Amino acid sequence: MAYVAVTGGKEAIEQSLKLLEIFRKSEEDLSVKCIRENMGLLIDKIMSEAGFYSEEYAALALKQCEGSVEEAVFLLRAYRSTLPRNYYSNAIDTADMRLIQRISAAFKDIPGGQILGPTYDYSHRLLDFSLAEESQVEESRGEESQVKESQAEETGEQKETSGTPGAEGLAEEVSGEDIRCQRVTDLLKAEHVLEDVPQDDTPPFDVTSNLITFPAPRSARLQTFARSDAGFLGGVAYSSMRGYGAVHPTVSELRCGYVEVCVPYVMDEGEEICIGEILVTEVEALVPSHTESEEEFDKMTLSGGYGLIFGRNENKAIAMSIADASLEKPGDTPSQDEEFVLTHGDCLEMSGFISHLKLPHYVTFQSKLDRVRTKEEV
Amino acid sequence: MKKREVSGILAQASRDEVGQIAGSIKERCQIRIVKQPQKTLVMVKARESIQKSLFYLGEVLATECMVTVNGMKGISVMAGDDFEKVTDAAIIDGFLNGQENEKAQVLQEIKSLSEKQRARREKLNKELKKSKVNFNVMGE
Repeated sequence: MAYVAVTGGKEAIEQSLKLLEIFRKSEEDLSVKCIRENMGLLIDKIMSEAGFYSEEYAALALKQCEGSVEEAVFLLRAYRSTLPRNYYSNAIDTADMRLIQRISAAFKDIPGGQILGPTYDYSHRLLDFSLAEESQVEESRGEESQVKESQAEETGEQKETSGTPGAEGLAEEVSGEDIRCQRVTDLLKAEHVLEDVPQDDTPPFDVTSNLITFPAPRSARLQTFARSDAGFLGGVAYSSMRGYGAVHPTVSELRCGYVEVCVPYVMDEGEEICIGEILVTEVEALVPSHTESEEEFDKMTLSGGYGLIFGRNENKAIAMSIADASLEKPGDTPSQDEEFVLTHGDCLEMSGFISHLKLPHYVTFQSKLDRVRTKEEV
Repeated sequence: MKKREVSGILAQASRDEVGQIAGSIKERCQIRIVKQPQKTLVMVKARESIQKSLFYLGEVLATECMVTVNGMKGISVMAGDDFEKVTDAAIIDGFLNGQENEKAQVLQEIKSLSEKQRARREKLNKELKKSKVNFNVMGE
């Protein structure tokens, strides 16, 4: 396809940018800190789709573009491209995650237990009108009481039990130790129902620096999914479960929490330094490795799909694990078509391509019009 | 204390807390900035647990700095964009790379920071553990 450039419109574009500022401004301005602290899940979604972890900059991007996810991702990707990449981390250890949530849909009882953590799954989805009345005064009162509580804790004051402990009425003293648990799949591997494969140290493919070709290495697939638009990935997974695919898995484990990111210490390769913690969500989903037909029944074990993403986003991590498992199974459905799934889910690419339709297409459209008119004449 | 532990504690600490430890070092040592603090990306490598292969999860915004403390090199890389904190952390690293007999006090200060951080997490951990669930299967 040939492209014909257009020129002009300088003043109108300048005014359009000025109008963006006018539309962005409001009587009550939101601070970046306020966005970061109140819109955590949105921040997580943007960081995940941008493939760039910085809560502050994600909040800043959101403020700049009136809350548009696509624009915020665009801003972060653009900014990220101006920075040098001087470090590659050592592989993060998600088995040692400091958990805030841990769920298994496969087993009722798992070592370490299941922790619902912060989730909307069991909320009533009723609009809470009291939040509309929540004033700054109440907020500051809340902060004061929090400070007092933590001060009391620091001085060792014992506080009366606040509220009933846990859904299961944990009568015993709850310890404040960090929550770390072994993986559920470790148990299955020990039982040999899930294959325990040797560690694969093949250097990963980097989709941010190299053009992806097909069939793509597994590392390219997982990196692409981790950056994919949550809606697209959800659609792919949903289609697979509804019948346009072969995967309807059981979530062996969903865990969300903090992992340390470490880089080699340049003056002593034997040492590493921790640059800080990042919040991630991880999912292992299990599917039978073969069909239940008589010929294949003997070969049947469990196989799995894997999901790992920046931030707290349970559904995206589950969807990623389904999309991953789908590509392991041969078939003709959209979710099993590697090229289709890996080339249409990038938030920036898809919104950019759709958005370009708003730009002048005068010449190409004239060409189409001419052909239609010629046909009419004939 | 290994570098990983020290750097992890400093990364979790506030700018003021790190500054306080570095402050006493700055008073008694000669500091030279070898590499000005600057932003960098850290590509996060992950190992998935199904086929145990490696992949890149994404990049973290970080800041790096290199100094010398009485001639000993010190380095820091920290998530975020706090130039002051990363410089102070590099100074602490440089100090710990030399000055054998004076390290104990600094390490003690870092250890007490770690205790504070643990205490801060305790409250949230208790709240999280209260959401421990045990679903009952009907009929069992």
